[in-house]
Amino acid sequence: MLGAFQDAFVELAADATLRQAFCQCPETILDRYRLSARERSTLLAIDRDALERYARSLIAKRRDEVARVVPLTRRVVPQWSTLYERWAANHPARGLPPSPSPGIAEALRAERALFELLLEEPHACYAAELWCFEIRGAASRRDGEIRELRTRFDLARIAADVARGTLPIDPVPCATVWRFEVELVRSRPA
Amino acid sequence: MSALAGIGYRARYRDALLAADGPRPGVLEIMPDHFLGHPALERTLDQLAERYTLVFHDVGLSIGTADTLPRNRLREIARLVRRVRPLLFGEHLALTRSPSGIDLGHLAPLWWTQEQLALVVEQVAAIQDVLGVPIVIENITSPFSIPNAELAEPEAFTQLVERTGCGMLLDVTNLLYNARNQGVDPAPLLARYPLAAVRQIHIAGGVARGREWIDTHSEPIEDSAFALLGSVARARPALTAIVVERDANLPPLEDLVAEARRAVASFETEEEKPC
Repeated sequence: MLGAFQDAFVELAADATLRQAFCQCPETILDRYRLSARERSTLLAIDRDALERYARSLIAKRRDEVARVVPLTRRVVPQWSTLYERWAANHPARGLPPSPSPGIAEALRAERALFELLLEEPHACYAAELWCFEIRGAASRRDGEIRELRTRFDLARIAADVARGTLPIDPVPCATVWRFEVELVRSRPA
Repeated sequence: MSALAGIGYRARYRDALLAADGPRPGVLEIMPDHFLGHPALERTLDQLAERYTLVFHDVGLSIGTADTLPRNRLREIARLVRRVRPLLFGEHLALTRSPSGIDLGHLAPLWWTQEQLALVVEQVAAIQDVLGVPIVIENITSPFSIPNAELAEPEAFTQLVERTGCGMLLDVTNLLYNARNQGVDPAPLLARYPLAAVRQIHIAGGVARGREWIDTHSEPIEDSAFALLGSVARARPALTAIVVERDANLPPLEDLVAEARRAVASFETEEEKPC
């Protein structure tokens, strides 16, 4: 079955955990798929170093696309790319949100997961909110859909500071609700 | 008729392209996903279509996937085709998702069996029926080849063209980098493709990382890619357009248009030589 072959091939390319298990015990992993003997032997014969390089290139491509969406978050969290790569390597994309930009689609997919990771120390207390602020702003500018975000800090001021090269330390909380539209961002106290 | 010198549309170039006195490429290549379903963006596309000849280029139909085509998406693309009437619609001979729905976010090579070829023939015929515009299918950079194949990609292209009547979108840079990465001479590899069926050409600049060449679409085009255009020209294809692809390190629009014009000139210089 060509379909089973493609499922196995794509899942191996997209899922680092599966790939690791495949390297350790390939026959067991392939038993999950209804493969012919020829398909099975073909998957076993694929150059595993090349497959690993390809898998990493897929992650790197998506990372670069997302990076263009969140330039300020990257300044605040220099290890952002590592966080994203670790997450993406084990979370294959199943149906991306519709978006006119692959970077925005992937950022929307990763938004919740990386928000949780960025809430943790040692990241700046506003890093997680800045991540969402940038993604939703970029998405609404691009597709015109109205999005909202509730934050603990004045993200517009923080974003302006970061853009100027200043990283705020312990900003004063200022709970705000943001409304992102195609050409402007509105805010009101939460 | 001369081939049109084109560039891939990027939002950053929108204002310059719509300006009355801006540099004018002969054709704009449009990715339907960048506009589909967003009224403001579709109006921008209308404005571009009033000023430029368009070709469409898609990355999301995944024509190699052993599953039915995404019908809703195809219908939406057809609506956009009727709206702005591009000269060609291009897709890749690749897959980007599995039948179970995992999206790779990029192009993956196909395992060339007769079953795979029959499937692709069926998908391309179905796309032609729905879109009603000439289809061109593009060669990709292959990060590796899948073993135990029943036919090689150039032969798969030849059969696809013969069985469906589609054209080929030849990416000369992909071909050049595949040749380098496989350690073979690009000219004989190029000659195995159905060059008479080439209707559109892509050309771009990439980088070498370690021993591997990657089509990053981020650099100026190198001379060896321009040189391959001559080999294509000698096959006398009915070429519609040569499009420069650039996704990063975007230069000023006039520089990109100049690269596209140089590519067409390279092609036509060779085309005009007697056989």
